[in-house]
Amino acid sequence: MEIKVLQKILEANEAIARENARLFKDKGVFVINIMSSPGAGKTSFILRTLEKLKNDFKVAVIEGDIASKVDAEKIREQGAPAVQINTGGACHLDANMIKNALNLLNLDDIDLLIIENVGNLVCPAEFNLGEDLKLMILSTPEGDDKPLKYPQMFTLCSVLVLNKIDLLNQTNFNVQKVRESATKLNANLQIFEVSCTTGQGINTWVTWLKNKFLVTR
Amino acid sequence: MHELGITENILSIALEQAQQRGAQRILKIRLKIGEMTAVVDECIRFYFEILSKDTMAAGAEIEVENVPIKVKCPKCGKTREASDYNFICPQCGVLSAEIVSGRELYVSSIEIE
Ligand SMILES: [Zn+2]
Repeated sequence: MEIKVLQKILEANEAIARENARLFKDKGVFVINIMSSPGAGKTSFILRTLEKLKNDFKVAVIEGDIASKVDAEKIREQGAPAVQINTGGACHLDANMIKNALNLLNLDDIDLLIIENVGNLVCPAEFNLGEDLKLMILSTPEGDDKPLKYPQMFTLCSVLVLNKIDLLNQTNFNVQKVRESATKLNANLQIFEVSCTTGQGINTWVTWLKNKFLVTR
Repeated sequence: MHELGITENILSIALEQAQQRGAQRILKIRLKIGEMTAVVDECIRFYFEILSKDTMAAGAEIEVENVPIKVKCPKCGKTREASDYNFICPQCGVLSAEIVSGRELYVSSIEIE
């Protein structure tokens, strides 16, 4: 006997993500989900962003990337609460992990929550967390063919950060080519060129983020 | 690698449905998987075999319908396949921001006895 099911495979995750989103909205917390390959510079990017925002906004960080366990300490040194999630070796964060991590944060005292996802550009794409903004970081040494390798990620993100732009001369990364291929997948993609080493482009990104925060909340 | 999490969800959806109908065994599970999801059918079958071992879904066949990527042109309104990730309408030269299909991740039906 055949039974029609027609159920989303990840509906359980979607339901929790919606719950998270509702809670964030109630508490006026703006949430960014940061995704990249390992070593693209997620933590340095978060630290640079914190540096610029910490006087005006209350920022907290959820660290999902196992590889950067030490970095939760660096974030606390910046005066921001940081929660480390134990993903148990999973290749992505899911909405339930975020829900559990929220027990360790006081949302009434947070304006902006930054989630550092696991270093991987395939798996996190399917798992909504309840975030307002999906951001991906691509670093120049990784090569400029990423949009073609991870199209789903490019269509789902609203911000693309091109990091390590100071190393451009040492790579054959073509910024124009990436901008073109990324925009062909997602016309609304906001692209920022930054260097977390020199600080180049960070102000432009942070100014954009502040505006986004103010119109959303 | 996200196939493990996805397969766990497939199994629990199938088991729940089958239990509701008082089934003895699940013979087949039909899935709808969009091309954009980058989910590998073989990985699902591999994890399914391990995960379903001591359940009524053990030995069930996994049938996958792969759904191609389709986009809709905002200008002429035409929907066309874009499995090459070329989202620009060949007639209007406009980018099709609307992805009509290719993101599916569904259990469409199960066969039980
Ligand atoms: Zn057209």
